[in-house]
Amino acid sequence: MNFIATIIQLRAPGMTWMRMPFFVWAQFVTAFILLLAFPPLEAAGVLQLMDNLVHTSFFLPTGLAVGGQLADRSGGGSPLLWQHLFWFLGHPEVYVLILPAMGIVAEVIANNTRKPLWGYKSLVYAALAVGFLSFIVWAHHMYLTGMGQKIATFFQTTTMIISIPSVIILTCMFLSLWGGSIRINTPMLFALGFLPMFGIGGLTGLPLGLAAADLYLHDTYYVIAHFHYVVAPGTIFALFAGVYFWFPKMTGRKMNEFWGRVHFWCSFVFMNLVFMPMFAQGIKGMLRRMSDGAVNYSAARVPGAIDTLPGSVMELNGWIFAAAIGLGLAQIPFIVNLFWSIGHGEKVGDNPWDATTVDWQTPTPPPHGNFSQEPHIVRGPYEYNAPDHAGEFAPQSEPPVKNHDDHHAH
Amino acid sequence: MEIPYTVHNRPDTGIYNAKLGIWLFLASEVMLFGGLFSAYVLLRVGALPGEWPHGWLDVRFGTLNTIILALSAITTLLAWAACKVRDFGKFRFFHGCTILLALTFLGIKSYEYHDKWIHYEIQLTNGKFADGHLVEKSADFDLAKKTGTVTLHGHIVENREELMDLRSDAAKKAVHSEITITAGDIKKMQNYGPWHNTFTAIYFTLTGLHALHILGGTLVIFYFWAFGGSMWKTDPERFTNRIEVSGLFWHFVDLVWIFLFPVLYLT
Repeated sequence: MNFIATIIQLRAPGMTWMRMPFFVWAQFVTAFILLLAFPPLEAAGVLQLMDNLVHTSFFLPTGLAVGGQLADRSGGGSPLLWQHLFWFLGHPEVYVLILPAMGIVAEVIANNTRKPLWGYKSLVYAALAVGFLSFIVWAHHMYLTGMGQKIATFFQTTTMIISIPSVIILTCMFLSLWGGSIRINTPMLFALGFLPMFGIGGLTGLPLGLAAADLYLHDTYYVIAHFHYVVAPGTIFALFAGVYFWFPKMTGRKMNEFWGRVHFWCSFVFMNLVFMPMFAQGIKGMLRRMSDGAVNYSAARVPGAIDTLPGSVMELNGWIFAAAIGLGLAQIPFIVNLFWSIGHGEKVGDNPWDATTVDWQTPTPPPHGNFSQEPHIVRGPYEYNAPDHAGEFAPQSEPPVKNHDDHHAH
Repeated sequence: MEIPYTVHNRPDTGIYNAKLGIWLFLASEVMLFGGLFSAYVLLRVGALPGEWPHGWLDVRFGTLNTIILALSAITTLLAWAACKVRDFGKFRFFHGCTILLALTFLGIKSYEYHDKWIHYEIQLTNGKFADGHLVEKSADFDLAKKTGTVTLHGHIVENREELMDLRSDAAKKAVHSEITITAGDIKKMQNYGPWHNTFTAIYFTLTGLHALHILGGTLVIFYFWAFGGSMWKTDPERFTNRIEVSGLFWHFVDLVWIFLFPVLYLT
């Protein structure tokens, strides 16, 4: 509520909707998703509490037997009801994870390509479309619950549709790189790492969204690999980019660049070593939530069962384990760098990345109320090498200059 | 820096901050009750034939409570209008009425809950069912030890199905009288609490959550009624906005009841 009310009511003079940084748009849509998707989970929580505390039967079907005895409950409830209420939150929630990440990556890319984002308006409309569509795809998590083929068809259709705005967002970001004079630094490395990694995560989701393919892939390690590519090298890489990018605004110092790059490259390599093999395991039929990947059910143990989990698939677990240890160790340079830089990082000014958005026009760290005086916005968020401005970049709140000689002092 | 639009409208959006906030909050409330109403729909269409009860709630009490909440909506509006014309005395009178109406609503609701609490369905060892309101239990009544007796004001039916539709002619013609049953004849005894079946479960959950909203709204209105005077003296416009915002919440709570009444009482 606070985020939405602030964005609608407290935009600075001149900050029109289409002058807002994409990160703010992403937060705006995310806030709406949070506002509207969580209450049904609360409803599910209330019903679950009633089932547990006063022995109602909201989620207990008629004729439920426990330990060979008919349960002393009225019955008449529906386990499927729980799944619907849960996934009505659960699916919009994944866009809560990815939209702010996309916003961060957009900011870092615009800043480090030194040119406006490609297709800013497409990005905005795509984010709004994702926000709306995220409310009507939830049952693609439930193809195997027996809810019925007609419902599955509806949700597989909406699921295919929601991939369109997601692809638009990623495409705009890729195209933004084209023709830019790219600066490579730690935030940009993480943003660049985000693009293909999220791409892999997103595209491998398509077979899961199709009910027929999901019959086979459901609950296998393929699913684990898919959603980890979305949220681990996707969301978490974007969060790292954001930490390295905005750290100077919070502290007045930059994080160490060398150790930042060590952190990125080690994380990038180990992240792929952890999750890439899981696609292979899943396609071979290794199930999640079972310590042995369901090898118990394969032909090795059950005569006549079709196919088997080869030993090589299980052996990958050992390699994944080693890579996961490596991934954990790769975070040590980050943690040390983060705390060390608070006191010892290179001292920088209020706008160390030569950025255009108004968050960089505040004192460092930003005081209560953020700005020392109210900013007046005169242009869009990413005016790098703008024609109306003599400098290499034009902050959103800096008035246009007519005389080329007295361009902004920096 | 001073935060703008806390009292006066932002020109391009036409509202002040808190008004936008309460509308957003109400949107999330719509989703909360929407989730529970969806649960109601799914449970009802999924019920086995004859398992979903009809006419279990007293329409007279439901109608009375509907009228009471409708009146409270009017007094809430008049309280806000009184603030607008800067008449604090009238404000206190009308919101005093709102509080009394809200407490009456909760009183009637409590009576209805109590009525369900003392309403028992008893499965007898001979296969029949006794159904009625508890009159008394003998001092030595104990189901486990099978001692003592229980007295109900109600009737005995052959099949449980006869208890499900109280709008039917048979149910209306049934003669109710005091029945005394010995504990030894009782197979199972259960009152009409939330555990009784999925209808009572969703009835108590929906109306219980709604009653909590009534209680919360009443507390907020009472706070403005009792302690609002100081802000009224310093910043009446801001106080008026608070009455408008809390009034919007109150109207929403009324509106939820407008949906609860037909869904629970009239079906």
